[in-house]
Amino acid sequence: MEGIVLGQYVPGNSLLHRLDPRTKLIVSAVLLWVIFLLDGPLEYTGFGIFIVFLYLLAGVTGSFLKIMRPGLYLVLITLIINMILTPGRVILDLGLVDITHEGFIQGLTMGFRLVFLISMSSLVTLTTSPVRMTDGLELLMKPFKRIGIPAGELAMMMNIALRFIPTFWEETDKIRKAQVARGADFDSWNPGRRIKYMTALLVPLFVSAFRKADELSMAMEARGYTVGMERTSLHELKMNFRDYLALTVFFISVAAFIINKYIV
Amino acid sequence: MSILIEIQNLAFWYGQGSEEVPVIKDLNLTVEKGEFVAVVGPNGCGKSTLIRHLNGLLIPRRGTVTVNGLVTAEDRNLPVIRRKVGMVFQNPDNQLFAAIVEEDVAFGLENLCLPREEIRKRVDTALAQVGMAEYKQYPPHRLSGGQKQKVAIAGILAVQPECILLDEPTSMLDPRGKKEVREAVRELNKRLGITVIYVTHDMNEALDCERLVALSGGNIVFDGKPGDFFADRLRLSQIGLQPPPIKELVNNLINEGVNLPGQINSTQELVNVLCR
Repeated sequence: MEGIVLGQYVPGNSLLHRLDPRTKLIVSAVLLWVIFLLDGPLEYTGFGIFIVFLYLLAGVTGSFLKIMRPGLYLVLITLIINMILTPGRVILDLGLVDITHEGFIQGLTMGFRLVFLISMSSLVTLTTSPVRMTDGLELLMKPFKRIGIPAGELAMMMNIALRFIPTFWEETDKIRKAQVARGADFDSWNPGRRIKYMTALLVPLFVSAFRKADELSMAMEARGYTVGMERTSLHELKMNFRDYLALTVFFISVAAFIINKYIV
Repeated sequence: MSILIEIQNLAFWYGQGSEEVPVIKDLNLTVEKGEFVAVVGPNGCGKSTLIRHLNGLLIPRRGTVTVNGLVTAEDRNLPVIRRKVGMVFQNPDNQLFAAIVEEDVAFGLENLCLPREEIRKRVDTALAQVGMAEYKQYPPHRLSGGQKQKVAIAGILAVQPECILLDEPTSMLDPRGKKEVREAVRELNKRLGITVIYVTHDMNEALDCERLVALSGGNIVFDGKPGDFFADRLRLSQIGLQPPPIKELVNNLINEGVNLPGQINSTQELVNVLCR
């Protein structure tokens, strides 16, 4: 139970941790777009160094490998497919397939883009606690309330979902043990039986989830919650001087980059 | 004393079902401010259904329920009624939903749109009142059952209600958790004068209250002192309830011809009488 970490959040007190989640969300969104503008080895190296710098600043370098692991196969596959499928000047003849110069460059470009995308978006979740993140998302979405996006309700849903992950984990464990005691074999190699036993796990889990939801909604109603109501908050996010400073510096740099690239 | 809750000719049945199988039929009950009322009865007698009427989670099919003079059947009264009458449910896991204890306690206050400083103050006070102040930064799943229930109570307290309804709050707890919760609730009643309506299956808990209301088949079959209720064995067996061990002992001793007063409610009292 204790091993479960909600999301990837690494508690800390670095500048990146202390920034308002809104600042981080905006900056990372823009940076994700900037990644697709990068061109040439110099810019890629520069961006890479920038990301390494951010990870060092946040003190979460240790989590980098853990985050990259699921994406590693994606990066490798992209690299290989690009290398062998792009036509061009052959640099290595492997019999059935040829590796072309253009393919190699293309593959590297795509590979690095993926690495950048994953590490950039993970940096936000690594340095922001889930609660603050949902608060930040709620505030960012607030202007869209006018066009009918229920920002407060969405944030509430996300919070409740996060809160119940450990509870459902416990529940799953309990049901699993109960079914094993009745002779279920969840490690069976036979896919047919495995599916059968998974049903024996999932059906009770869903039933209990619905029952929980029912009671929870009653408890919320009893405490005066109604959908679409105005609410205040115990913790309010505040944009500090450092947030405005970070945003200003950031947008000036991005603007300089773009002007330099496309206009000059 | 003034009347807090008044139920007149309440009848209720679930779903579109016919009137022939009501869960509650023609029930009358008045609760005064500051009372500590235990509600007991066998499974399916309508205990939970009854108390869900008291804060407007259920609306009477017939008859009326008034809280502080406000009728629950009127939608516009509900926000006020729910602020006056808080409710703690049986399963502590299904009523805490915030990621951190203090946020959960703040939930009801956030719904009232109070300013942040006020929320902060009331959250801290409420947590201190149930003795959970040091756990305010904990995630709920790291707490024991009794602690979770106390957090749930703090969440209700923060709204400063006049009445708390507890629907078998200890039935899923271990003996220590039961004791903690019971003591916390008793404190609230004694010190803050909050009216408590306490549904329970545990006859020892029921014996501790000032007033006991027994339900059977959707109606009240007893309303009075717990001691008197458990002294009447015939009625108990008709309803299908077991008296707590101490009452069983006293009843048996009286039957065997020992000269004892019938309203002994605790081991200590019995010892005092016997060693006189």
